[in-house]
Amino acid sequence: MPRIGCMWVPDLCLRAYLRMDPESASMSLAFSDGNETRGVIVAMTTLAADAGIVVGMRVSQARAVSADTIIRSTSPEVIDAAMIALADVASGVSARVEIDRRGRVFCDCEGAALLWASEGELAGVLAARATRCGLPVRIGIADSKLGASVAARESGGVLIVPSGQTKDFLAPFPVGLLDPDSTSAGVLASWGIRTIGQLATLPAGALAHRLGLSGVSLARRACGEDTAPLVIRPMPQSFQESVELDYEVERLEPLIFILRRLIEGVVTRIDLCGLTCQALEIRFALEGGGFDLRRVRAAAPTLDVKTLVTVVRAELESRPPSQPVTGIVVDGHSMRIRPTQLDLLRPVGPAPDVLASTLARLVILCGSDRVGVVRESDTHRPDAIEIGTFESDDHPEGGVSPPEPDAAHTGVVIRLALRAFRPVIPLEVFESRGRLDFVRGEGFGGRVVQWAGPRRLRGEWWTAEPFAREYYDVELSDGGVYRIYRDVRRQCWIADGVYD
Amino acid sequence: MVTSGDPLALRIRCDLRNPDRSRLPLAVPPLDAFLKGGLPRGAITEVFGGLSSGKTTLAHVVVAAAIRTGTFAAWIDLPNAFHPEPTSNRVLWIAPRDAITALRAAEHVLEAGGFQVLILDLGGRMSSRSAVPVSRWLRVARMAARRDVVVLVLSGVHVAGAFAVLSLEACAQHRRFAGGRGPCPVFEGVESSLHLRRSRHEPLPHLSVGWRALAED
Repeated sequence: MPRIGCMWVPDLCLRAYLRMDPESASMSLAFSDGNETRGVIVAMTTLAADAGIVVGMRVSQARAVSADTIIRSTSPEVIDAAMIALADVASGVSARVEIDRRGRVFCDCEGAALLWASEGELAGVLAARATRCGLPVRIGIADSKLGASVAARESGGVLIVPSGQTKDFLAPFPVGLLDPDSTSAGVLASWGIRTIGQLATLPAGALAHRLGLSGVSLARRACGEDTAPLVIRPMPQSFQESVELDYEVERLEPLIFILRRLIEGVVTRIDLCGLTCQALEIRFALEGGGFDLRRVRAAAPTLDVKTLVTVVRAELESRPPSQPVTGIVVDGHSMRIRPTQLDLLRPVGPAPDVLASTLARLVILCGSDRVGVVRESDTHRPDAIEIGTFESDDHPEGGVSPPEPDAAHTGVVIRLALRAFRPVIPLEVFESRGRLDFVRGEGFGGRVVQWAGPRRLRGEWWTAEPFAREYYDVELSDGGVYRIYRDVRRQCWIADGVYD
Repeated sequence: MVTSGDPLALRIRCDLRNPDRSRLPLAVPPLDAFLKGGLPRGAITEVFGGLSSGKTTLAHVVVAAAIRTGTFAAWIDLPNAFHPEPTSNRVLWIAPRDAITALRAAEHVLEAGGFQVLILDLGGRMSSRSAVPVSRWLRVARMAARRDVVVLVLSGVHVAGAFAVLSLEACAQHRRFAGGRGPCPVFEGVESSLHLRRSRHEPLPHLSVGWRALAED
């Protein structure tokens, strides 16, 4: 016997809106079905209800009853986003999830006993997770989608129809819940069939003979069976939250405030699916119709909202949107959490989420081009470096260990380090009879005490910018030993570092 | 099977040789003997000295010692003079624009945890300790103690004041140029010495130590 769970949100359009803007709950707010003047009120906050507004009232009437109440049109996009968020919640406990066009989410609860103590506990978990997403739900579990849906609507919170008792549960409800077509509904009414229980007592064969395929379907659903399986929704890989702003946002702080809420929503949904956030793609709708797309990525996949907000802040501070922002779409790309085997003898490195947060703060402090890993570039130029991204899961190879010193020797040999000059310093070099006599550059200079060289280096002749250098190591009278070179092509002297 | 060149064997040997967890051994016997087993963890050590005195080389030795144990190091590079070494993939490089930012960056790194060594290279730009408020040094010293991190400050002059548990002066002794005044002499390296200028906790056995660093070619 299949077991189907149904999640239903009362006042969906209101809840979907409050999910995006929780502060509106304390306002007198009502929602119409779309038409500005002739529309009908479909939902309202408690304050609006206290002011006398009721469901079914026309907008013009509502305005007359309470002039202070703000009346908004329902937005299909906001409702769809709420439904997708609800489906993500269901995806956290079931592989088979279907979004119904009537604002219900169904999930397959068969085998739930293997994971949860009872179906009641499963329903409690679903309700708690949906509330975490800002959607208070009612939940019903039964043998069919219709049974679960009716159970959800009839429940104050959670209603479990025991297996095999769905037919009895549905019996007292009106036959209109089965959505018969108009012809079938007329025929049933003429027979005096008012409840699902009355319909279920009729023989299925005779019903099919008189009502055709529609009759077969009605008979099966009245008996608590589904006529079609769940339409499976693929497991989501990206999670989207969006908001359209009532006014343009120019400053960074209010923008971050809104972004934090959207990122929280995305991260919560990713977390509920047992995944982790790999990157965020943020699309800003700009005043004047333009868009600004940003892709930010933490140093490691994380579910820490603070870290992600810090990374986004760093990105926006370094490059703010060119125009005031009128709308934001945050798309969170997810990935499976990768287990890591720690080393027995190796100390634990920085935690990935903490490292990501720290790197983001350092980028804010120093600039994105001044934080990372310095590597020698894949070139023969001795002074060429590149800045890479620092990652904590870069395992050392055996070859990186410096050679073990030989304790038998009194003098230990160590590789001499160079302090680079960035940018390189142009020099004036005085020579006489092929010998270097005096070197002068910005910030240093002196008589040449000793020197070694030249070491000639030519390369990249296959590119548009080949180099040809003659390197010298010079000890100056100021006490430093500098690495300098003569650029043969440009006929100039350069200092690119000092040994230290 | 674990061979003698295996990284696992190296780590085991390193751990067995270093029962004193309060110090980071540098695997350079004269320096380790001079420092009574290595640089103190959870404290600020300061190395200052003039041009080509070997202080940057010493910092690279400390970083290599930390990385050899499989951990990470951070290098705060105020003069933007860091030259990469083969082990630099495990070194977080930060190039702040001023000394105060450098110490704030140090606080962030120490707060993150997971780094065994933090090099704070202040270069020759800081001519006195007044360039950085005392409170910044205090915060770095406390966080280093809490995280058990070796903080090594490099500078041209003595800047860390009383916050440095150990204050060492690097001095250049001799520059080795082979070939003398021949047609193509070769720079072999420098000989340096390390002098103890201040030790807060305990007296060190020797007042100075000499060591030699060779140029790459």
